[in-house]
Amino acid sequence: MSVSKVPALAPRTNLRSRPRPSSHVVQFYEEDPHLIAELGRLIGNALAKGESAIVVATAAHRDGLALELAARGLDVAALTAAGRYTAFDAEQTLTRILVDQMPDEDKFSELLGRAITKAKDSAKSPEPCIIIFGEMVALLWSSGKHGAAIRLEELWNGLAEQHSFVLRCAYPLSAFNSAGHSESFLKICAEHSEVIPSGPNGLHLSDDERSRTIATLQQKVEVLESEKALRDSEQRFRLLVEAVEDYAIFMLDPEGRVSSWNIGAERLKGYKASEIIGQHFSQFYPEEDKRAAKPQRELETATREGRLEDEGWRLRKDGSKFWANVVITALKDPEGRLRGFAKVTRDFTERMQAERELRESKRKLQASEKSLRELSLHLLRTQDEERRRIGRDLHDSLGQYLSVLKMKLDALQRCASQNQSPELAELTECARLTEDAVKEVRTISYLLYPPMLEEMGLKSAIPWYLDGFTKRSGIKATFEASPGFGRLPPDVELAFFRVLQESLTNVHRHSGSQTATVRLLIEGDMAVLAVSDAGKGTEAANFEEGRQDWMGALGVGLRGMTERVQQIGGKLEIASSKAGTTVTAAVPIQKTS
Amino acid sequence: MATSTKPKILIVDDHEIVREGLRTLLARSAPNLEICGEATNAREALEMVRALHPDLVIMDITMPGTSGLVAARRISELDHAPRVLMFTMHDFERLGIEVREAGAQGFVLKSQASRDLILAIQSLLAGGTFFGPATTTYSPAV
Repeated sequence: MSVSKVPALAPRTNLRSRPRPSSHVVQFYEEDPHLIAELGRLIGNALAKGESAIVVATAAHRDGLALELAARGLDVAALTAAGRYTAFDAEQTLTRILVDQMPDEDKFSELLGRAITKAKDSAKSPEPCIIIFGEMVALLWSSGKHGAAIRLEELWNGLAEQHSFVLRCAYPLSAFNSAGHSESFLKICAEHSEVIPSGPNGLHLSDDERSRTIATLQQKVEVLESEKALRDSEQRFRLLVEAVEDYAIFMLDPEGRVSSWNIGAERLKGYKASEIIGQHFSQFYPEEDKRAAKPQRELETATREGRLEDEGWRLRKDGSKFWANVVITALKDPEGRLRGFAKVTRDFTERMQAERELRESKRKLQASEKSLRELSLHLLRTQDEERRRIGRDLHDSLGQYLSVLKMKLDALQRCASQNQSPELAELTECARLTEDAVKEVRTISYLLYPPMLEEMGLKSAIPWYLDGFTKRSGIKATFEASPGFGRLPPDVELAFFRVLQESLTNVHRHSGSQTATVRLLIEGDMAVLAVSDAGKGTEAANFEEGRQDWMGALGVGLRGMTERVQQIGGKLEIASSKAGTTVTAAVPIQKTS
Repeated sequence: MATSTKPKILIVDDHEIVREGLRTLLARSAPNLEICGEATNAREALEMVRALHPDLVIMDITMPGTSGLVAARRISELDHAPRVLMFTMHDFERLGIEVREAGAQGFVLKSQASRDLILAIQSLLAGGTFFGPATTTYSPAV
């Protein structure tokens, strides 16, 4: 609330329209002696003039006032006996007038009215002026019953309609130190005809001075409020930091000595606050880090960059190590001077170990995937080599023998024919059987490993394979090759040939297509084999598993083909839709003829 | 150099039994031919062609090392190249094309030697070719 608003509330005539005591003064005091001195002056003067006084105060204030009056030469006991000085205990009186925590008007009027009448009767002056000092409102206020305090002020003002008296209230200024108190402070001011500032000399003031006084007091109240709020906030923060158990939070002075220590730090590092405060933080570091001046470097970095985050081994009090995540923040005052460091340390040992294990598991998984891939490729290669060896053996040994046997049987058959030998028919049959055996051996060896693939390349091997495929499946297969398509490296030709076999097996088993097209193309520096059908599209799963192809050999599935093509630096793609499926293998190649 | 009226034949096959079969067949059916040498692989074949100047080379296709078709290509590129007849177990549609592209003048399937070989030799020695009757006769097991 700004000070400039106060004068609008302050002028006496604007505060209240209700009657009030001829004088209802409030005094805000900061120290008891100032209050006692002021009361002593006020009440002492009145008693000396023959007036009467009523005091409703705390025991301490009653005692203090009695001493003060005695010091002024007044005989308090005699005055009390004469009925001119009446002292009530504020707390006891309150209990007599409070009903349901609020001051009761009837009880208040009866009790205080009787006291005032008695005081008047005892006064020596012809027109007695009674002085009353009351602290019940202050007690209510201090115990947080602000509504009751204001209500009691109103009752005092109401009492003034029946009796004439001068009333002095007093509040300790320190009671106005919480958020929202400045508004209540103004309400209290509004219930009074005069406000006396704290201090040794209470003064009666003009309206202007009174406004200024209220403004000054209000400023003081506001300062008290914000100081209290700051203290509360600092206290809450300190309690919070101290209570954090999972983080070590502590402060270092600019040289690196520990200056505060929370419960988390005690738990993590094993030192009690009393053991570690004042010690240099480098003792948390392993010996090798200390030798390398790492602690000092970290403070330097934090000072230079404002903040440093680090992970590494740190030591507990018992010498055991833990993996720490550390954040050091440099603390600087508004002028930029280094005041120290805040250090937050967390135990990442488990996390670090978990990450390490995860990395290790990943590495192992990758390694076993790699060795599986290698095994798969090795199996493919071994299978190729074995097929080729058996095919060659059949073709080159058995096949040759049978061929020569056929030649000789043919020769014998011719002789028998010339000699009209009775064995001619048998010899002819032998030659025919041998011819069949040659064909059989040739077919089996070709199916195991097409020799024309090696001898003459894909452009010969593919038509031969398609011919057999069509005869078996009834699917019409056509073959196109780019005019310039020449020989490729043997491993590429073999990979393409195996892709062709797998693809056509899929066409036959899954596509429902009646046609298949095989194309060999050169696209840029890529050699491309594309196998298309006009079928209903194929579920991806069907490409996965190995199948028996029409050669009767174990297929390894297109996934095996994918890896095989990848190994020679190419890639395999499968595009499937309701209009058909196309398998494309593309391998970068140096053009050769 | 003594002039011989007999055409000179070089036999190239890695299988002794095939060479022996050829010798027997030629001795019986074409005694007017002279077998001037026998090679067991492509390298020996080229050396012997250079050394012996055969009129005709009868050569296997599938041999250890260099293929007979590659050897045929190299022989056909020589000056005064002899005629080359491929003698093979292979039997498929494009064989004729491959043989022509290799620079040879014909082929005979080993299983049809009795029927075709003498005809083919005569055809090639006369400057012709021999690509035989259609021979794609295999039918794979289904």
